[in-house]
Order: sequence, then structure tokens, then C-alpha cells
Amino acid sequence: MNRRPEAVVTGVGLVTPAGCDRDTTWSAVLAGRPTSTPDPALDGLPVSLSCRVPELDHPVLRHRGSGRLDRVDRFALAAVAQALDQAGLDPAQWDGSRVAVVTGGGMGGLLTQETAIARLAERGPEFVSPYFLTGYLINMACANIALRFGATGPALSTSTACASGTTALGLARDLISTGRCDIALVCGAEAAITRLTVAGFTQIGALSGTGSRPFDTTRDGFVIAEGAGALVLERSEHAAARTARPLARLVGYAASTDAHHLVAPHPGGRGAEQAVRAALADADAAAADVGHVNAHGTATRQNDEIEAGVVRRVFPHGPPVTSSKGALGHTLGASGAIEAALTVLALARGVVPPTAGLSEPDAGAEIDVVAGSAREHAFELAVSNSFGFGGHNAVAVLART
Amino acid sequence: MLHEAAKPQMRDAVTISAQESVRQAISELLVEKFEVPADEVRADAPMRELLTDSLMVVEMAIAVHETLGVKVEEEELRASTLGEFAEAVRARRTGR
Repeated sequence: MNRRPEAVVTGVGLVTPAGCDRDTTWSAVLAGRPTSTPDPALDGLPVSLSCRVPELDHPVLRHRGSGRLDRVDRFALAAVAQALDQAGLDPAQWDGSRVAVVTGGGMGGLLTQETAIARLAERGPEFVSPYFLTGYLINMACANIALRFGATGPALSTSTACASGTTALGLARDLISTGRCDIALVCGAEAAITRLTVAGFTQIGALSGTGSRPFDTTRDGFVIAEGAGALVLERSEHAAARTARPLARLVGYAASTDAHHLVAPHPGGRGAEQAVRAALADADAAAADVGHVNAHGTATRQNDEIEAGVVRRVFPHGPPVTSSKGALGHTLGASGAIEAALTVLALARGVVPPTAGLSEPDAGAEIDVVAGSAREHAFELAVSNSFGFGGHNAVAVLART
Repeated sequence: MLHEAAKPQMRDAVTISAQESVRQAISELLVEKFEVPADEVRADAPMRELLTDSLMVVEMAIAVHETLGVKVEEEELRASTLGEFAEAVRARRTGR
């Protein structure tokens, strides 16, 4: 049997509420430090907590035209630039036609849209900026990455709500394994902390007004966040030929759909379990080989209960589980890529970060969620789960090099 | 008499300063909003070279309308130098 080309991760980049780069974010996640704070922009709303990215400055944003980029595109460019830097890839040298871009995002440029809506209402149509659409359209993070780095291969923008980042990773893997590119720039990005978004999530009952506490007995919802995660995926032979050192291998991916309800997860975790099992089969791996699970772990009552059930059933050997959303909040469409990047770092460094905000583990969960402090733990194989509104489930399996 | 003699000079001064201030305002827009390097913002620079794509031209027309209260055509922006454009905007402001 012809083995399909393998995809390796040669660089990751992070822009998160914990910091504007990979190492600052990793340190904060490892320390289990929550980043949620009362948000003055949300004053007067029933929920006014958020996790915002601190002031972002990166050389990639000092070019002419950067000033009118939407916030989500700024995050995406800074994350991808970090990942490329770590991968040791120079866009001036590569064959751009062999470089794909796959992005994930749930919302598009909401802040640009808000400005445009206000101008239309207050001043009239002739005052709407010609840059409204270039900031708002959901494919523009993808287009900006391609434009900025000269990636002229296929470009795709995926949108599976909170699973988008992982969906992007999986599609990029497929582009590599089918020979459509040698390099894929994968990025999940979101900048959607607006009063309207927060009001909407509040009406669904998804948000916590007190903090993100994944898998905790007292958990009562997620905290909205923003940011971006980027991964450079590369055909393993391509990486080897330029003697790049892979950080991890992306060995499995699968997706499924609940087809049960527009926002409520299937109570039995049907779609989620199907995706986890299919991703393991895709990786040709046994469940028992999995040494770590980066859970979706939103800290809503429903998600964590149902996900714990899936983890318990598929992984009865009890591998250590973490939820990055305790520290970072829920970055929506960016979360899958951010968490895959953190899983790569956990694999490479042999340590599982704690779940910030977790102090009273839900006794009913019966899974080993790491809390309090990071756990030294060498493992070969990890699973990163993402489940989105719409019933979208996406699961990636990453292996140590 | 002295008072009378001073008049034309004062009118000139006012005219120059109005022209300068319009050019100044447009220059500031070019540097701050359109991120044009300050040393490229000169009176003889063609606007089409300062505003490098069609979206920028539209955005500049909106900005001039908003900050200086003058409606300008995109064609006019494409055809003039910064100095000519500033003078055209000034003339229309004065003519209102």
C-alpha cells in the first residue's frame, strides 16, 4: 500500500490573551494563570468578562497598509510570522505555488463591520469605507496571509464555529497528503469581542460572569476571548530535504457532525466520540497509545460533562487531560489552532499544563484533568478536541518526533 | 493710511495660510491614515503615486469630505499633484 505523504509541524505561533508570542503564552498556560478580566467595553451587559490580547506589535505589522487591517487579520499575520520564523522558512526563497494557506474563523472582521454599520447609520452610504469588505469578509485573514507571505497555492477559509481552527489543520493535512502543496500555513484567528457577540452568547446561556473553570463542579460557562494560533505544516520529505527539525507529526485527523441541534451538543456525545475514534483510526493508532488529551473543555455545564464521557469511554486508561480555556478563555474559531499549537509544545517538552480555574474537579467526570500545577509526563501521542456550534466536531492526533 | 496699505498683505497672508492649512490637513491624512512616509509627501508628488490603489483613492475622497467638508471626485484625485489637489480643495472651501 502506498503510504500517503506525512505532515509534520515545523513551526508554531501564538497571539493570545496571555501574550503576543509563543513563549509568553506557553509560560502563562504552564503556570495556570487565568487571563479573564472585567472588560470596560462590555460595561452594563449581564456578562462583562473577557480575555483580550494585550497591545500587539510585530514587525510584520509595520508595513504600509497594516493600519487598516482588521484586528483578526493582525492576530493572524503575527501568529503566522512567528510560526514561519520558528520553521526557518523564508517566503522570499520559497516556491509560493507549493504553499497553501488554510484558515479557520467563526466570525470574520466584526469590529470593521461594527464601524461600517455605525457610519452607514450616522453619516450615510457614501461614508462607508471601501475597506469595509476587505476587513469584514471571513476569507480575508486567509487572503492577507497569502498576500503578505507570497503563498500562491490553494487557499481555503474554513468556518465550523469553535471547531474552525482544528478543521483548518485537518484540511491542510489533506492538502499535503494529496500532494497539492509542500507547505501549508494554518491559522485559526478570531477577534469578536463585541457587545453584540457577548449579548448573543449570553442569550444562549453559554457565558460565565465569574470565570472560566473547565471540568470544575462550579463551572457555569465560558469566557469570551480572542487571539490566533498558527502552525506551519510541511510534507515530511520537504522538511527533511531542508534539514528542518519537526516539532511534531500530525498523524491523524477526523471530523463529524452531530446533526442533532444547532447549538446543543448531542447528549450522548455521539458526534464527538465518532470524530475521536475516526481520528485514531486515521492515525492508525490504538486509543491506549494516547498519552494526553487537550480537551475542548469550554467550561459550560453541557460540553464538559459530555466531553468527559467521551474521553472516559474512548480512553479508559485515563491519560492526563487539560483545557487551555481555563487560562486563555474561549477564542472561538481560533481555539483549535491555539490548542493544537499548545499540544505540539506539550508533546515536545513532555509536560501537561494545568487547567487554570479548576479547583474542585467534577466528581462525575471521572477523568484525570490536570489541575494546580503542570505535570511532567513524557508521551508519544496526543489528541486535541474541538467541538463547535452547529454540531461540528474536529479532532487532531499529534505525535512526538 | 498705514492701515489701508497693510490690507492686501494681510489678505495674502490669510490666503497662504488657508492653502497651507488645507495642504497640511491632507498631508496629515496621507501620513497618519494612509501610512505614506512623510518624506514622500511633497507638493509636486502625484496623488496617484501617494495613493497606490483604487480603494485608497475612494478612502481619501471620503476623508477629505469628512475632515474638510469638500466633496471631490476620484478622477480629480488621480489627475493632480498634492499641491494642485490641495489648491482645488481650498478654492472650493473658500467659494462655499
